[in-house]
Order: sequence, then structure tokens, then C-alpha cells
Amino acid sequence: MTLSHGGFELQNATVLYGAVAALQDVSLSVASGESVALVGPSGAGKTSLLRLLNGAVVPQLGTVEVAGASLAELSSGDLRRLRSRIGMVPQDLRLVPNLRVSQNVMSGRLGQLSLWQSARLFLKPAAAELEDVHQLLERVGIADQMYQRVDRLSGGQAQRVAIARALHQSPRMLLADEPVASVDPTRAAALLELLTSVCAEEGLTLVVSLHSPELARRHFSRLVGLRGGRIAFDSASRDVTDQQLTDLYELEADREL
Amino acid sequence: MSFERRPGPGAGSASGLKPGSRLGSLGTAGVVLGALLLAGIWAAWHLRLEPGQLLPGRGGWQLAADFFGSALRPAWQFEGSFQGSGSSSLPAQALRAAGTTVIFAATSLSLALIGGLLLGFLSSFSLMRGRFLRLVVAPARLLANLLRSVHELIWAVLLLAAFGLGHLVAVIAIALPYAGTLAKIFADMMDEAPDDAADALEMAGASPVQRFVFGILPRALPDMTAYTFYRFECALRSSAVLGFFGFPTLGYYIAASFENLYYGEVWTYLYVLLALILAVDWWSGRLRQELVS
Amino acid sequence: MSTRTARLAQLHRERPRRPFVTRSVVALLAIVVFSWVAGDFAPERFFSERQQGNAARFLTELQPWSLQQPDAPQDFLTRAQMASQWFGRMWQEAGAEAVASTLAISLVAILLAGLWGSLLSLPAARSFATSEPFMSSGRPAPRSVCWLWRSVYLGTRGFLTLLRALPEYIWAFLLLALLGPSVWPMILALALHNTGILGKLTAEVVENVDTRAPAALRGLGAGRLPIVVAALVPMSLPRFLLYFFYRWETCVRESTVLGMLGMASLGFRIVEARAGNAYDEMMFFVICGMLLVLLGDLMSALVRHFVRRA
Repeated sequence: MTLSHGGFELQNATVLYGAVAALQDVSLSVASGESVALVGPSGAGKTSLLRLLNGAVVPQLGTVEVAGASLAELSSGDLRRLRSRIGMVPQDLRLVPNLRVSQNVMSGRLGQLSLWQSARLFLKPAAAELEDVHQLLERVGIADQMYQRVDRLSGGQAQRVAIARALHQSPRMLLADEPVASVDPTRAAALLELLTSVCAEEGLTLVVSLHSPELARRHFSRLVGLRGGRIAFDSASRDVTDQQLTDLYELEADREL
Repeated sequence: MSFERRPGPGAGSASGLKPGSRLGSLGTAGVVLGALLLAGIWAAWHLRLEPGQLLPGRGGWQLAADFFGSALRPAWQFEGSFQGSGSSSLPAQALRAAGTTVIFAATSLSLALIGGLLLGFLSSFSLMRGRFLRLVVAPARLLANLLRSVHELIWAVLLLAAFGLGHLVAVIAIALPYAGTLAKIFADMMDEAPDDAADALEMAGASPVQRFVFGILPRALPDMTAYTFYRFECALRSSAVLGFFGFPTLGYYIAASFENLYYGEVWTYLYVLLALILAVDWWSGRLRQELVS
Repeated sequence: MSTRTARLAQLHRERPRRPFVTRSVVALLAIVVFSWVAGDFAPERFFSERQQGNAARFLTELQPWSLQQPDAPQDFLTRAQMASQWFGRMWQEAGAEAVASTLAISLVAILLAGLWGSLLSLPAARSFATSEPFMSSGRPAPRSVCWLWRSVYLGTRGFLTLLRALPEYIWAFLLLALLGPSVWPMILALALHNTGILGKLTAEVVENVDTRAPAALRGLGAGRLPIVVAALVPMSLPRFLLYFFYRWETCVRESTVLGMLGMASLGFRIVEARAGNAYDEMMFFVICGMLLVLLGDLMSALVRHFVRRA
């Protein structure tokens, strides 16, 4: 499936989990090739927003358009083809722990293969495929772990496998949920640098949720602040004031005082 | 850990008990134990159990002394003219019987594995997703349970009555209930395998079948492999016992020698059976350790 | 060859492997292939016309006798009614008694196995069968005492392994000859085999128990009995009960066949009916056995659910 562009368009989206609103009336537009960081305290709705963008969550109200197509109107086949071009790095990584790194990375391409092709990919991958995977792993810095089992890796290494798996999809868009949550600060900066530079080189749309506003400001030109399921601000990161960030992370209890 | 526990999937988490779990109050345990005690009293009353029946008669004592006395003196040569299937020596015959026991066990396990996998896939909610496919699960589980609920020896009686004494009858008699058991356990293992990776694959555009084959199956496979090896040990036992129905496995020779009062021979066959089962017990235990650690 | 290809080849050569697992799977496959080749199966026998005729006749003979007659009514409802009447009569005459006995045998057997298994689990648990249970430090015991405990541990484990290695049916066969005909050989056969299994499993439960409570009691100077009563029993009871009911399921299943050796229960009725060529009655008792096993599974699953939730 070739996508005409890699933009996202959310209109008045509301997501309810039971009686609790995870997102309320959120509208957001991300242009093709743009890099955006979602910031906000935990429970602000960052994960729900990311999950809206690849159709993992369906909004009760409002619409989601990806690459110009409304997700609600896609057939399941078209939705799968669209998803195969959206890379997702979930916060809990969701790798298969008892498979090797190479197999986990290759599984990113399943959406573009028939069942038969994918079986061959796992049992006897072509040399070119392996070289692709190795190159990708080199890029994320764990090429030597290519044949290691994922459950033998450190948290940071596993994080890179998840990123490599998403990139192996040759995506037009990349969604990453707290990709540096389990990584120490220096590695966090390096990982974000990696994500933004790869996406810039290849013109991918990148939406990342981050807990830390400092990191977000340093690596992204556009910040979207979320609080209580609503968008608090959406502006260029140089325009985001310290006061806005303080307000964003302020505890409910403090605000009432 | 080994598999006699009819494991739920996932080794330690098998039984689904939390590690430090206790009975919330001893009340539950009390109710269960009390009910068991009542059930036991009913059972003893119903069977008119008397401990006195436990004491062998005078003949029994003599027999027991003879029989257990032979435990340290297993025979190396035939004790009578009974030559079974015409082997030249007792050790050769015992080994041949052990070989037949293995042959019946391995062939029946291979059939059971094919049937168990197919039926297990059909009984697994993680593969049979979607409004219509889900409807397959209940009949598949029912079939697995029906196969399992008939003991292999009863299957043997039925099949012998229908087809007569052929070796394939023994193999199928073991394979049918084992296929049901494997299907049930495999389905549980696949359904209890964590599906987080599978969901990630789905979000990357994988089809439902790909999601299962590459996201769920690899996680259940170590447990499934270990369990299959445990069932091989069980199949050896079943295969040996089928000898009592006339098939030339170890059970046949144990029964024949015992009835001829050749206790030394009985012990020879028993020791060979023990060695066989202990070897496979060690093998499957070691494999399980490697797979699940 | 590019450097990447070379590096990949090297990484692939040096990939972590688990040779034991691979070899085990290959070995089992080899045994299977060898067995199919070496076995004397003659599958074509199954497809001979005579054989198929026999099998077809056998299937019709599974129906109640009155329905096999040429003048039996043809419409389904009447036949079903006749069959259910026949089933009801069979149930009253023999089925209920056989099912109850089979169930009772499995109950007595599993209770004995549970009792013996839990008693034997203590000397079979590494953490209990030492001179200083549940305490890592403390004064070192004399060598002879250590050896004594070690041999108690190994001896119990070996005994349990022997018990569970022999199939129930062979135990029952041997015990029947020694004890003479009563239900005890069946009960003891089931109980011995399951003692081996429950003893080993419970020993593992005891070994995996959180050692802080027993160690604290030991620190207060408690002897072995108080530790068992106050710490080990309450801590390992839930898991023990889970295993107990799992094994009860298999006990019910096994007790349906042990009667084939000639002792009152379903198995006896099945072989008796077969010997008399009363295939309809044989089928009736087979169905009784299936229902009993399914009922046992259901009850066991319910109790385990109940125990797990508590």
C-alpha cells in the first residue's frame, strides 16, 4: 500500500473507558513528516491518543483520519494494510521474549507478507533480509546481539529491538509510547536523537509521548501538552513557557489550594 | 518441576496461584477438608472396607515372601519352558519387549500429537477469533473431552472387539485419549500464553493467523514441548499395560511369567520397565528444566 | 564477500544454542520414525472388506438389544424412548452401583495418597530434611548427622520415584495376587502410584515455601512439629489441594479400568459384558465411565477454582 502522505487528523475525539473519559474532545493535526512530542503527567491520555492513531482504540465520538483515510470507514483488510505502514513502539515493548532479536525484528514485516512468505521468513530468511536486519540493528546500536534471545537483553537493549522492529516495517509514520521510560538519562537522549534523526532522514511522521518535558523541549520542535484527557497547549517548543509546563504537571490537590 | 501435576501452562504460574497465596481464611480449606472427610467416610461405608482384608491369607503370605524374595534375584534365564515369542534368552526377550513397548508408545504419541495439535488449535480461543470461528471452540473442546474421558484400556477393549488383535489397535487405543488430553492442555497453554506481543504484531498489520503463529505459538511452544515429552513417559506406561490385553509389550510378559509363578522373570521384566521409565523421566525432567528456565 | 556478510556469518555461528533441547527433539523424532518402520502394523488389514464388515456389525451391536431386532420400530422417537427406558433399567440394575463403587474407590485411594504423600513430602523436601531446617546459618552439625539427613532425603525421593514409575494397573495386578480379591488391591494400587506423585509435588511445594515464617519459628526455638503445624501446613495447603484434585481426576479415570482385573467396578462390568458378547451392555458401562470421568473433571475444576479464589 502506498500512502499519499503520512499525516494524522483527529477531530473532536472522545475516548471513554467505562464512565472515565481518557480523552475528551481532542482535535489534533499532524502533518506528513512532522515530529511531535506529547507531554503531560501520567494518566493525561497520551497512550490513548497514540492508540487512537493506529486504530487500536476507536473513539466513541469524533473521527480519526490517517493518511487522508477515515479509520472508521476502512475495511479490515485496508486497516491492516494501513497499519503495516504505521510503526508502533509500545511502552511495554511487547516483544516475544523467547525468540531471537532477529526474529522479533523481522516480525515487523508480517503485515506486508502472506502467511507462507512469513513462515519462510522465520524458518529460512533470505540473506538480503538478514543483511537488512543487521544494518537496522547497527543503526540502533545492538548489531552484535542479533541472534541473542530477547529475554537475555537489558531493558535498554530490548527498547532498541522494539524500535528496530517498528522501523523494519518501512513505515510512513512512527508512534512511540514513552520510548525512554526505562532508560537512564544519557541513553535516553541518545535514543531520542536516534528516533528523530531516522525520521528526519526518511521523512517519517513521528509522534512520541514523553513524561519528561525537558527532553521533549530539547528534541522536538512541536509540543502537545495533555492534561486530564484534554489538550492544554499545542505550540512550537520554543514558545512553551515554563509556567505552562508547571501548570501541566501540577497536582490536582495543589491547584485547589 | 515436572508434569505429573497436569500443569496449567507457564510452569510456576501453572496453577494460577499467586506465589505467596494462602487460603484467605482457613475457612475454605476447612470446608474442603471437611467435605473430603465426609466423602471418604461415605466411600469406606459404601465399599464396606475392613482393614482386616488387608492382611493376606496364609497363601498370600507365602506368595508375598516368594515374590519379594525374588526381587534381589531377577532371572537371567527362562525359568520354565515358556519361551514367549521365541527369543533365545531372557535378557534378549526382555529387551525385545521393551523395544515393542517403546514402539507402541512412540507411534501412538506421534498420532496423538498430530490429532492433539489440530484439535488444540480448534479449541484455542487465541486462534479461533472472530464471531464465527469462536463457535468452533465449544464443539472442539467437547470432542477433546469425550476422547479423553474414555481410558486407553477401554478404547483397547472397544477396538479389539471391533477389529481384532492387530498392533495398530493398541496404537490407536493410546492415541485417541492422548490426542484429547494433548488438545486440552495445548489449548490451555496457548490461551494462557501472554498475548501482548501478538497484539503488537496485529497493530503492525499482521493477519489473525500470523498474529497467532508468530506472537502466541512461540511463547507456548516450550511448555508444549515439555508436556509432549512428559506424555511420552505416560505413553510408555500405557503401552506396557496394554500387554495385559495380549499385545507383546512388557505387561504381557509380566502377566505371563507371574501366572506361571516365575517370579525371577517377573522381576527382570519389572526392572527393565522401571529402567525405561526412569530414563525417560530423567530425560523429560532435564528437558523441562532447560526449556522453562 | 562483504564485511557485513562475514560478520553475519560469524554472529550466526556464535549464536547461543541449546543443544540438549535440539538433540532431544531430534531424538524423539528419530524414535518415532524408527518405531513406524520397525513396528508390525499392517494397516491394510483395517481396510479389508471383511474387516470393515466386522466393524460395521460391531457398531450396530452397540445399540440396545431390542433395537437391533429386525422387527424393531423404525421411527426415531420410539427408538429413542426404548433406548432411554433400557438405559434407565440398566442404571437401576447395575450402573448406579458400579459407578458408585468406582467413585468410592477413587476417593479412598486419593485420600490415602494425599495422607501418605504429604507425610512423605517432609523427608523428601531438601529444606526440611537437614539438621537445621529453614536456617542457613547456625552451628554446623556433625558430619554423621549430615550424612544421615542426606540419606533420608535421597531414600525418600528414590522411594517416591519407584512408587510413581510403575503404572497403577501393574500395581493392582501384583497386589491382587498377594491380597486376594477385594477392593483393596485397586485402592492400594491407585494410592501407591499417586503417593509417589503427590509426595514429590508436595515436597517441591514445601521447598518453595517462603522460608521467613518457618525460620522465625525455628529462631524462637520451635521444634520440627510446631514448624510443620504452624507454618508449613497453612502455607502449602492451597497448592497441595490443587495438586490433590488434579490427581483425583486421573484417579477417577484410572479406577474405571482397574476393575478389568476382576474386581467390582465399571471396568469389571465392561470386560464381563464383552466376554458375554453383550456389546450393548458393554457400551452402556463405557458411557457410565465417560459420564463419571467428565463429572469428576467438572467437580475437580470447580473445587480448584474455589481454592484458587480463596
